[in-house]
Amino acid sequence: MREKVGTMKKYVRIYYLYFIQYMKSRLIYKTDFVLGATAQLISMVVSLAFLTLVFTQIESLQGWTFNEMLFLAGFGGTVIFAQNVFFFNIIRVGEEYIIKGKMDRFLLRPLNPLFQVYADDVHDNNIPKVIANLALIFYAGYQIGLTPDLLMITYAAFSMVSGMLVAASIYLLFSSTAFWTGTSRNAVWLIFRLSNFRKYPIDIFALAIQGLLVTLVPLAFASFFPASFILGKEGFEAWKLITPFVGPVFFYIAYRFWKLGLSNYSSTGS
Amino acid sequence: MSLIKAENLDKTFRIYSQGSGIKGYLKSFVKRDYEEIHAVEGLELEIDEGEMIGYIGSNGAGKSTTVKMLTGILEPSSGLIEVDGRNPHRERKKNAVNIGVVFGQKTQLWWDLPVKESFKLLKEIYEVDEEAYDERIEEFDEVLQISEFWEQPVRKLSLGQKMRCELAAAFLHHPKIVYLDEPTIGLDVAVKERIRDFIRKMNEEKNITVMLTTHDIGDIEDLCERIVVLDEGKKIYDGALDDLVNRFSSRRLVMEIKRPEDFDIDIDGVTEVKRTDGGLEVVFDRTEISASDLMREILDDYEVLDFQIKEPDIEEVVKKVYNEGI
Amino acid sequence: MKLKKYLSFTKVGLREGFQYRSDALSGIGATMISLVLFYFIWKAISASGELAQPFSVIISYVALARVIDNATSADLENWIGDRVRKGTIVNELKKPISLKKQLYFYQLGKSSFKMIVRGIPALIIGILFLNVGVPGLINSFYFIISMFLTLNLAIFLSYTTSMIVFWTKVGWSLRMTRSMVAGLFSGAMIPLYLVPDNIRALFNLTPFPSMVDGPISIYQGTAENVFSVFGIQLMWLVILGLLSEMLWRKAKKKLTVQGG
Repeated sequence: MREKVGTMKKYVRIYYLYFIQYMKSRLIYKTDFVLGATAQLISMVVSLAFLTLVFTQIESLQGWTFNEMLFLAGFGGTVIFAQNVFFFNIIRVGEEYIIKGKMDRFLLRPLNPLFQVYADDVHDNNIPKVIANLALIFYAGYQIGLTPDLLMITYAAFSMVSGMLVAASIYLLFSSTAFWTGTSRNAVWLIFRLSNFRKYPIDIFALAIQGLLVTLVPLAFASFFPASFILGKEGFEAWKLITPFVGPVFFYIAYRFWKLGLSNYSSTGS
Repeated sequence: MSLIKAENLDKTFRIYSQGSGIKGYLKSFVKRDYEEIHAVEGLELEIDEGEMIGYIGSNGAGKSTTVKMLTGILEPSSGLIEVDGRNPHRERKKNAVNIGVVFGQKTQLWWDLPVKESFKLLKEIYEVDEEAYDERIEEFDEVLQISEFWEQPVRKLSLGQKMRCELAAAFLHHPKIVYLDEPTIGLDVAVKERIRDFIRKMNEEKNITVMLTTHDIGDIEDLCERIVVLDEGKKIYDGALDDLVNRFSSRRLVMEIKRPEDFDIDIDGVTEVKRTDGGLEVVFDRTEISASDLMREILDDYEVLDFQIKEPDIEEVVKKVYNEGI
Repeated sequence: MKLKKYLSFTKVGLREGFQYRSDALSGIGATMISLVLFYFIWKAISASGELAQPFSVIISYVALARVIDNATSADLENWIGDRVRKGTIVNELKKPISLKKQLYFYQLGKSSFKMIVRGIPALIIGILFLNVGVPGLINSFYFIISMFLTLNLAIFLSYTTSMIVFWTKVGWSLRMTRSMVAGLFSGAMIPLYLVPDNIRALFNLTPFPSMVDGPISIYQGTAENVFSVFGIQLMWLVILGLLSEMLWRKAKKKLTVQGG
């Protein structure tokens, strides 16, 4: 047990070193940051514009009002982009680490290789989006007249963390295919398209897709269920209850898949 | 008890082919052809602690594959492999603490960070304590002189500077074994010497086992007494460098003479006479005739304008060993 | 002959498409995902209110928009961004071939591949399941012309934004912005007849509606005057052509001053 704690401390120390180093070198690439952050904020604006235009034609979508939709978008957005800050780097595993041989270097160190991939880059250009989505939550919540109590806040906090792990697990699962295909770029492209599903109540989709959204691409746990619970919407009660706990489970599954990929990499040496 | 042991080690790869032309492209969408490559076959290897061996062979001979298996990156197809009593692939992390690796061009330093920050990270990762760390950096600095660019980001260093850092980084945690893959490639003579001095020092003073893969015959002559030769995945020689060179070396006399078309000699020890663009190449076995004797005979009969004696390169020795076997 | 030289770039573009089969597969996958997503979103929207058109009409618009978008999307920003960052862009300029023409033909090859591998399957699915319908012979012919104009517009547009890369050095953020804004303004996300008139007027100040909404109106036979659609497309082609040329001159000057 003591050894495990010692190892954890070591990982924390190393991550911290990586982090400040990253921050220092970050100052060199200021333009990239500004451009990247701006592009992403613009895409968020376009997304909101779409919603606004749609709601010039209707009053509610599947029983969700405009502000409730904003809340949903904001919640899911906060979860995914907060996760991006720390876990996004995995999507480059094919192009950056496997093809260029850096993965070999990671395997030579007495350190978990997945940890090294995550630690290697912090995607802080997502921070503006996290802030914007949080603002959306507060704005929408205020418009709806939400009065947060302790239960709601606790639930929100836990389900956000769980949601982050869920999102991380999706990225990890899809990116790990790079061990077989040599590229993670395509799997990631699919995730980006799929992640748009998080902005809508899942009961607008056919059952088969709803099934997908709680298993292979469990985005429902990152946005719809928690938002639905907080807003007091009816339906999916059991799902909403387990939401704060599913994160670690999904991440564990994705992690096993990653290890499978890693052992395949070690035997084929691609 | 050997530190590194490999018994009947095998590694086979599948290479898939792409297909050419429109038909080939379309076909490869459905099913791809592959061929099997035996990168390493039946390798037997034993290395004791404190040894420094040269591991040589032409490109594609299986050297990096062997090193990748010994360092745990690659899993063998079959056979036994043991490093310090452990299977390096299965106990990857525990094995990793004991080893240092320099992989030619692939760096272990952080590209955008100053050298000293890279070392700080490595210190943390390999759990080197403060005192030992300071001592060793100073020690390394004496031979490698890395303090000159300590504060500079790695990407701004010249090849020679980077390589010196790589070596320091590999030895920082005083691992039991260090694997060096082409550590002197592309460097000038002065830097090469400094690097060789450093490696020798580490091996002799700290008893660190070194496995050196290189094409540079200077490296080998300077550092290794024992060499292992690999060709097409199989070990074809394992022993002292001197023996190998003595047994399989031939020297070449390259010269320009006044009337090359008249050249015709019959001297014992000359194995071949080649005609080249510039002149003539006389291949001879120096155990049968010395260079000076040969020259004397030729000078007697012909007008020599220019000449040069060429030493055999490793590739030639390897090729020769392969062709003639052991 | 010069044309042959340029066509070799087209071949390169085509070959790149074939080379990466996983790219092609996930391209089809991405298209399917988008179609499915928009199908359900618009189904729910239609069920939630009184829209100007029934769901079947709306979804055929959206599906067709996706087909057009897939078949014509261009990405020169990354190509240029890579070379500007690595400094190799100077090598491209040293070639005795105009960079603009080179990229045009190259993108032509890539887009042709995309049209076959992504556009056509999407069109088939649209016709079979999403009520896209098949236009008459004349309209089909006009549609193809309009598509070709859209393709050119897409290339010119991408080329214009790529010029900005000379200053920003990074391609992906520009491309993302361009395609997101284009997606909204062109009708790819929401049929333009559902957009309030004043906002629609705003959209029309950009080339985007002419790239998607234009051809769709020809295909579905809702265009008042086919030739005015062509006219607007050609107008934007000229504008973008001039704009990109202007930016290109400035970029070239910048390069020579910097010494590449």
